[in-house]
Order: sequence, then C-alpha cells, then structure tokens
Amino acid sequence: MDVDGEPGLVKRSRAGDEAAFERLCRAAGDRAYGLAYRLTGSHADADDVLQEARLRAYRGIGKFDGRARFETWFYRIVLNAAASHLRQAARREGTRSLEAAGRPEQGESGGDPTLAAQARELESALQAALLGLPADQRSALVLVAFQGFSYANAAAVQGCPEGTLAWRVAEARRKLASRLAPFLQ
Amino acid sequence: MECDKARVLISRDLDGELPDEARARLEEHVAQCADCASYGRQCRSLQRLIDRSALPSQPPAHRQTVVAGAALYRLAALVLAAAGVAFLGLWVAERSAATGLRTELARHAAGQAAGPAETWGGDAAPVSPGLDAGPPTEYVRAFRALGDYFRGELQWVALDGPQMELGVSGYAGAVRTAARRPAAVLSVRVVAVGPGEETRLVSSPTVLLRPGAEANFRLAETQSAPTKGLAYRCAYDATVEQGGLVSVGLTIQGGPAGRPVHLWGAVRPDDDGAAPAAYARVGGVRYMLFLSARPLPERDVPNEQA
Repeated sequence: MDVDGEPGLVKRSRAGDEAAFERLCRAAGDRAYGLAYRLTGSHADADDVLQEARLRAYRGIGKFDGRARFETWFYRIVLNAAASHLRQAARREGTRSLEAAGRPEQGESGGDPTLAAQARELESALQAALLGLPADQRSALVLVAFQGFSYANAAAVQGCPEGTLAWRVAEARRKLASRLAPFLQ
Repeated sequence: MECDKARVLISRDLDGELPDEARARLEEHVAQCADCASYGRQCRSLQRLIDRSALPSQPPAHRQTVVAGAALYRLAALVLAAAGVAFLGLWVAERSAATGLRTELARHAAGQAAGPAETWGGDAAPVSPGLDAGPPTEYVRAFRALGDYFRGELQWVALDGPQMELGVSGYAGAVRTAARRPAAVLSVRVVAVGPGEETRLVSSPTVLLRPGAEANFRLAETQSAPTKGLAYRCAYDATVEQGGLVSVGLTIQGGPAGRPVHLWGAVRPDDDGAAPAAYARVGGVRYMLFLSARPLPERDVPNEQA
C-alpha cells in the first residue's frame, strides 16, 4: 500500500468508512496472520486472534492518531490479542501442552516424503520452542527474525525501547538455539 | 566487553542493526571468546532454519474482510457455520386465508428457477419435530464465517390457511467448532406482521452456545394468533464462528394435511430474504422458508463471556 495513501485511509476510517478500514487491514494481511500464527501455534488460534485484533482495531480506530504507521499500531493490537488469547486458553486448559501446541497444521504434501517428514519435524520443533519462550521474547523474535521488522519498528510495536527489544531478540535466540541444538549445523 | 553485551551485538549484527562504532570492539571480543563465537554460529544456523521454515499465510478460505455498512464485518468468503444449530418447531393450526400473501407468494414463485417439483430444500415427508430431532443433514450446507454477528429472520407464508394456533419451542445445539469463543448467540422471537403493523407474539432470552454445548428453550405455550392476511416471521440473532455450523429449520405441524412439514435452510450472510430458501406444498397449503441475514449494528453485539 502506498504509504502516502495511508493517512487518507486512516482519516476515512476514523470517520466511519469501513471500506477504508478494510484496505488498511488488507495491507497488513498475511504478515499479521503470520505473526498471530507464530505467537499461538495454530491456524485456528491465529484466526481467533486476528479476528479479535480486527475487532479491537475497528473499535479503537478513533484513538489512532496516525503518528505511527497503521501496521505498527495494528501489530501491537495483534500482540495484545494473542497474549489475551493464550492467557484465557491457559486458564481453561491448565498447562498448555507444548507438544500439542507445536504440532504443525495439516498441509498439502508433495515431493519427497522423507524431506516432507523432516520439514514437518523441524516445523513442529521450531513452533514448540517458540511457544516455550516468554511472550515478550517470542513476539520480539517473530517480529524481527521471522517477519523482518527493523528494530525501531519492532520496538514501536512492542512499546519498548529499542535496547530492550534488542536484548529480547538476543535472549530468544540463545534459548531457541539451545532447544533446537539437534537441528543446527 | 562483557559476554551479555556481546551477544546482543552479535544478534544485532545478524539483523543488520549493529552500529558501526561497535563493530570493531565486537570483532575483537569474539576473536577471544569461544562461547560468544559459538553463539554467533548458532544464531546464523538458527536464522537459516527460520528462513527455510514455511511462512504461514492465512489460508484463502480463512481470509475475511471488514464489513462495510452499519455492521462490524462483511463476510467475503462462504460462511462455514458456527456452532449453533437452531431448531424451531412450530405447531400451527390454520383457519384463515391470506389473499395479500398469495400475491406475494406468486411473485416469489415466479422468480424461482426450480422445476416442477413441489418441494425443494425442504421435506414434505413426516418428520418428528421433537426436541431431540436434529436437522436433516442432507439439507445442511456448510459455510465459513469468522466471528460475524448477524440477525436473521425466518418467514413462512401459509396460503389458504386458517386462524393459527401457535406454539413454539426451540432447540439449539453446537455441532462442532474449532473456535473457543462463544459459538453462537441466539435469540428468537416470533412476530405476526400485518399491513402496517407488527405484533410480537413470543420471544426467548438470549442463548449463548459454547462449542459442543446444547441449549433447549421453549418460547411459549400454544398461543392463538390471528392470521388472516398476515405473514409470520421468526427472527434470530446469531454469530458464526469458524469450523461450526449454523442452520435454521422450521417445522410446521398441524394444518389441513395433518402431516408436519419440515423446512430447512442454511444461513448465508448475504441472504436478503428475497427468494425462499425452502418450499413445500402439503395438502394444498404452500409453505415457504425465507432466510435473511444482516449484520448487527455494533451496539447490539452481545458481550462475550470468558
């Protein structure tokens, strides 16, 4: 989406133009979904989180002052929605099974079945390890290492100083590397 | 330089965020510290794993758009029903004709592309309307929706019908859902609509359906309701969630044929009630099921419960 067009879309959204709001959300699109997925570990949970985030964003668009990028503001809502979702799930289900949470979604398979199995095993281990991180470190790593956010933007999403964000990313990498040691070359 | 600080700088360097002024000191430290050198190798290897991992994009069927208009969301994809199944059994004794409704029926019938079959989307065969009866699965169509609230109406038009004795009971059950939010929010009311006026006959409290849950409710005992020239409308509010199922059914018992008539339809968010979802003719009496849905205004969206 043309950044120059975003202020106009934000202004129209705040005035109640749902089509403009929809365009803003669509631009966040798959990246927001990918963030929700990596934070929760399942498509079903990611759907819930993204739905909740859109709802919160729609209700709160009047409070978005436009100084930051819409995507930054929206991603922070996604983070908060994911955190709420996981807290509620933990209260309902007790200890969340990391193995269950890390189980990859059924997807299309093709090509070499051995490679496919290895890929699934890696994905499962990666996601389980992610879910074992503290929430702020997990989201910091997903934003930077998975989604390519700059430190400045990721810090804005998390609402923390850049130095704090950098520490969270480094610490998340240290823990993940330890848990995924068998997969690292 | 301490190792804690060095690890942060190593991580920054991997992300292209290392300040130039720190590079020389970092390289000097790594050259002398085996642990930090190992950390750097692990980070690079880990990043290669991450780069190879699948980017989980939203499956096409999951995509949704925000609804324009007075509501919160507009469903862009097919609606895969939520988790609530509303089953309404209606006992109707007919004793009056409805001339105005006949004209309306003819207009709708003319708009149908259906063949000469007397019934479609419905079932003229006897069906037990007891509270344990679920919807005929062959009439249930699955749609996909995500968290949308909408309000719908069932309408039935009985031609050549008498004065009605109306009794309503309801059953709502959650079939299945992958979502953890309330599966369905239902409230049902039956109104009699005449030219220029509407009379509410019965209404139920709001029912929240959780995934896998069931709810029975009874709206009212039999009531006598004037029917001459009137259409009957049963309205419901519902929300649909991913992985669930929402269908709406109507069973009409009594009438001149002495057999129950069972009409089912699956609700779609763009149903405007212009065309009947189901049609049946039993004993010379024609019944039509109209389904319409429109998103709820935000102020009417019920609060979720944890």
